[in-house]
Amino acid sequence: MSEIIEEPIEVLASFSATQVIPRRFRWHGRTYTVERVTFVHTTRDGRSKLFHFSVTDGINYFKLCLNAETLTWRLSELDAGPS
Amino acid sequence: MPAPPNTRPRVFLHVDMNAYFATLEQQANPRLRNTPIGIVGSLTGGRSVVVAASYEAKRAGFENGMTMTETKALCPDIQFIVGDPDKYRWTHNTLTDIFERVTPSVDVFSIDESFLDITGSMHLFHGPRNAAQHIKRDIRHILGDHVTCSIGIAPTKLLAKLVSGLKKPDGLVHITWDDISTLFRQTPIEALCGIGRRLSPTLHRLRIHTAADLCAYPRTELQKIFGPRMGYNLHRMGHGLDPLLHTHPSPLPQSVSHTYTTPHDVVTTADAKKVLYKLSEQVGNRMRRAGLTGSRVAASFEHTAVTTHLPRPTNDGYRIFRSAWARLAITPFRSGFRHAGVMVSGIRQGHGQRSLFQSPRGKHEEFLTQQIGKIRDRYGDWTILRGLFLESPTDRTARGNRPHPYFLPPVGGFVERTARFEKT
Repeated sequence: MSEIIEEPIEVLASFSATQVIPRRFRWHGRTYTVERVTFVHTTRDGRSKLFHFSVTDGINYFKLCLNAETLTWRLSELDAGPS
Repeated sequence: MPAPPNTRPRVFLHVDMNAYFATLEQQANPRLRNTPIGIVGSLTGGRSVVVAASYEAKRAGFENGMTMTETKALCPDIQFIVGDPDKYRWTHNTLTDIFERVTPSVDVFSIDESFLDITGSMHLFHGPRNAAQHIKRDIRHILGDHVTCSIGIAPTKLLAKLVSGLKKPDGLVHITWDDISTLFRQTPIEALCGIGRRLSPTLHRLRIHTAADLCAYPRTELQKIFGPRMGYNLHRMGHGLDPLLHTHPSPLPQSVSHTYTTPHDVVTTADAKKVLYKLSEQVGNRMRRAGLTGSRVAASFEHTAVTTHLPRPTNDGYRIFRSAWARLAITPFRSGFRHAGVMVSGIRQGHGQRSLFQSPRGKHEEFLTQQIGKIRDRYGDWTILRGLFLESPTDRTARGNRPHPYFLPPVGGFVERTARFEKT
């Protein structure tokens, strides 16, 4: 079951002509490699545009959020797989 | 059945997203795939309604309108997921973009259903089936392989919607006028869009049990029983034709409303005010962004409803709240309610005419409302709130510093009566 996290993270992302793809991120001292981006959608908070990336590292599900106004990332949700 | 006389041949698609909310959650989180899931507004409260479920849950017997407790009893393995309205709205807008690449004639029926008139554009796709397949491919490519839709292709919207439901999930059914007679003999009358719980008992009493029975019933008799307009439309539906709509539809919505079902019973006046205020601000924010004002406010707490007229049209959430609360506070309402709603009607375009006799206090309030609107436009709707939404640090700590549940937006809370607002 998903858990709300809402904590800042460091992200390594690639920028192609048409999209941003998070590749790796660090949370609580541990680095996670994004195996696949499963869904991307956007919302607005006032004037800020937020990009929500649903991703998996093959075991866990994460929802990462990029604030295009401040260019900051946070981990929104986590659904941890079996350890 | 031959094509009705004097009808221009047309081709409609009805696109129906399969288990829309649940499918999107399973697309986003692969850990949820191939498992029964139910979408809810909140995880607390067994009486909360499950608003949508995955096909795995439907196969276990889930039906619309069930509560969490009822669903869990039917399907013990089900996982409940709190809905994400932002995701569903964004996807809806993306789907509409996909549809508009096939035809400019897109009629949005609901958040997960649309009609497409492809009469003038299907030749670009070498036929209606290819146009439908094109839509399916685009949906898979843009949204993901797990997101599917069922499409019905037919000469009218009524028929397209009927046949899109014949094969789920990921169906594609194409019928012509030649297929209608056979189809209608097997179609229960309730399966026709527009015939629901109110009409069907009367139709059954007339021994109209299938669409074919309706087709055979004389038009004059239908008009005697149901009235000239309804009777005529029923006659049309019995022949597979779309009912006639009102002419000159208003470009403005009839009303703007929000409803909310709280996860727990609301028992205190303070909490009742918070719920009403939140709903009022949601309605006001929507109206302000659409450049609308309204002059009638209706508010309800479960079984208690009040209506009040405003001296001046407004889209100020706080004014809406104050006028509604002034009536509700003096009307005994049953405490322990869970469902509340606020609706503003008497809609007009523009931000309202200023009174010549506005007091200095009134001018100050109007200025304050404008500034609050600017802050919300820039930083978000809930950046600035009235003091009545504050609570003690003890209350917040008791909830683990998470936002008060009344801050969470309701799932699918916005209700629009006629016009479609611009995409957000």
